[in-house]
Amino acid sequence: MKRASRLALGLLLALAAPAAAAHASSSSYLQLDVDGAALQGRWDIALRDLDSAIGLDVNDDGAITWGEVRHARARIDDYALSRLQLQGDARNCTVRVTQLRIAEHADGHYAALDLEGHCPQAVEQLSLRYQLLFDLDRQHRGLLTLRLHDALYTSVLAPDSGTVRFGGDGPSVWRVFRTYFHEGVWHVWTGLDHMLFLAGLFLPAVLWRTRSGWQVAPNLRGAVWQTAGIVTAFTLAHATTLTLAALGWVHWPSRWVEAAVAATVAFAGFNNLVPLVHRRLAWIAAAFGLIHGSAIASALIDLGLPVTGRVWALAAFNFGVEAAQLSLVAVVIPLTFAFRRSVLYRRAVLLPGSVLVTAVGVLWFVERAFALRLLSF
Amino acid sequence: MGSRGTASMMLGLMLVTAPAAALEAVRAYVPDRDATVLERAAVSSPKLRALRAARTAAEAAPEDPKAAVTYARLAIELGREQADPRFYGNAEAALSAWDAIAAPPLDIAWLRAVLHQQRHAFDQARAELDALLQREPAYAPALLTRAVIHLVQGDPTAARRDCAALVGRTGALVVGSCAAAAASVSGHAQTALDTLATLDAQAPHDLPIDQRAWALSLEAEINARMEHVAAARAAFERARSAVAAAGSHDPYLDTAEADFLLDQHEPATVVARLRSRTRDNNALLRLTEAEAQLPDAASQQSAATHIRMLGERFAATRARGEATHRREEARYTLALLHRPQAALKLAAANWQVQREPLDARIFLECAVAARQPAAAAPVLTWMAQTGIEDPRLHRLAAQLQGLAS
Repeated sequence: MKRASRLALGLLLALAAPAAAAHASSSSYLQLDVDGAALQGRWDIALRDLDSAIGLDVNDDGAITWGEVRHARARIDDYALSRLQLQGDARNCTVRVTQLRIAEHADGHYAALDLEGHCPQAVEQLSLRYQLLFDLDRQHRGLLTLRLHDALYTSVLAPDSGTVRFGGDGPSVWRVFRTYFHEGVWHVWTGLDHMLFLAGLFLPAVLWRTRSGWQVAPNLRGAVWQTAGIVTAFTLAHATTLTLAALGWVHWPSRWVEAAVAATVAFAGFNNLVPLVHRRLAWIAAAFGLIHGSAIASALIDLGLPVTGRVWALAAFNFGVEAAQLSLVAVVIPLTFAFRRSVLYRRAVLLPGSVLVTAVGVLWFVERAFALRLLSF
Repeated sequence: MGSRGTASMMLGLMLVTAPAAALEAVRAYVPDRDATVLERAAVSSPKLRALRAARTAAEAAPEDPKAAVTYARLAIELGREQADPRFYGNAEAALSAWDAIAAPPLDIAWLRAVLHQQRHAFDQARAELDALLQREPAYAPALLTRAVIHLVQGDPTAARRDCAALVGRTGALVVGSCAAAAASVSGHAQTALDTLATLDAQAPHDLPIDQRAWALSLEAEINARMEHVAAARAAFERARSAVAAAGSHDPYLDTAEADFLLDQHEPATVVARLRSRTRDNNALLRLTEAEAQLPDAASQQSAATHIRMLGERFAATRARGEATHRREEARYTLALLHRPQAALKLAAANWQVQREPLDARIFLECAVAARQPAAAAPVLTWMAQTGIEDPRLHRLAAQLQGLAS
């Protein structure tokens, strides 16, 4: 029986070839206009395809009515937008559907979605990742028309060519590097927990408490090298977990990661008040770097890794982090070194600073671990 | 990577090919009433439901070749019955987990070849089948599929070898139909018809419809080609009623019969048969040709609408970068747009891929209409090599020789 039915299909195939082009295959028509940082466009998707993907024929009577399409509006928008990712210069653009209409193409009715969106900055290079329907129909194609910088691009988006890049001059490697390096620098300069943690580490670089009392750094070179070693250990560890998480190889629950970050901040401050560790501070920094790295990964994913060259982008980001930290070392350490012997530094900077760092760290920890809201930042 | 600069400008200049043109020309609107029906399922719900169930099962067990094969086969059957490539795309998706595996389970390798064949990637299909048959020389479906590909590519000798290898591995009707199909295009049309008549008399009547339909439609087609008008008419009639009695559809048979009726100058019958089949490009092409031949205003108007519709569909296919439709497009360009030079180009390109009698015919017709006898030389060579008897092809060849001298 099995043999017979298998052969029966063989016969069907025998006749299939001549009829191959009988119907139109599934296509969607995507038209995008990019003007500065603003996006506009229209996306026509066959109702038959939407029906097979998300089910439009709710009453299952074999007919798709306008009412059924209208009521499925939110599902259609969500489905379509989840299958299209746009990036301007390697940063995510947001897109939304402003209107749902109907368009009649040669092979049937389509849902016509009017699109509107914007990118973080005026777009030089647009990357597009298209994944509509490929999981259901490998013969589906997206027919793209894109206007960017007065140039018209067309492309056929297929399962193995669903990611495309347009515009920009030359290879985009440098642009990606610049963008992510910049993001890395700003992550340090504007990231409050990163800054507090670093402050916790920096404050005692020139003056630290031992069991036998306060001790000052004997020379500037030693202080700078030691601090630079600490931040570099931190960056290396940070880079490791960040890369693992951003590439999706590991996943940590964000609430606990965030709480752990707060704990490291509190520890860094407290360690200055009640010395627990001094000699092996680089190792502690590395261990804490692992935690910070996993925390930043989710932020970086939101920011949007470029669809091609993700590892390169991550490397650039980490270089940015390291550069920002080293620049802080270069500015802060000589400054504090100059004042290391003054009582003011100890009384007005080191001790209150460490208390502040510790306090914020503890509050953050409580907030994050127990999902409370105590601080306004 | 997107095409840039001159390439995209060229696309833009080619007017109909650019998807931009396709989208901007299509007005979007908001229907006034919720009850407006926008789309109707072409497939009866039970079959779609069966397909959905198979898809759910396959998605639940992504590693399970059995579930994938069941889903893919149902999809291919529907694709074949509805002449709708979306279903083939479903089948491809079902098998995509094995894409990177060179020697997957036999069923999967075979279905993969079938899907290559459907996309007219005949070389890939043959490579897949060659590898499969190396592993399992007795795998009948692969032999049959390869025989059909040889026939589509105009190599009846190779097809005959595969048909012969099927002896003892499958039923007599299948082996006989396979052999008859090969014989009918290599100078043995009458033998083929005799074989089919004998098999028909002997075959048990509870065989699956597609096996009987193949034999019956072959008989009709060979008779039509040989211009045995009465026998062809009767054979089409029998094939059609057998398919209908089994509650099945055979779009290929319908278009073959439409071609026969058009040759018999019976456009009204074609219109009556195909009026509701406008979703199928092959059927729409025949319908439009028939309408264009009818003198009344309504038919002429409908023909004009359908000519535009066909043009849009061919443009849409071309925009996808596909060339699976060139035979039909050549015919459309010649018979409905009356542009023999452009049609000839399409027919010549088509001949590089497909070499069935129908491909030879459109190529010769275009060459005659374009008054370019030299262009169709490859067809004449093929006719001499195979010894095909088709009287119409020989008349066209004679006409060409008349033009040349």
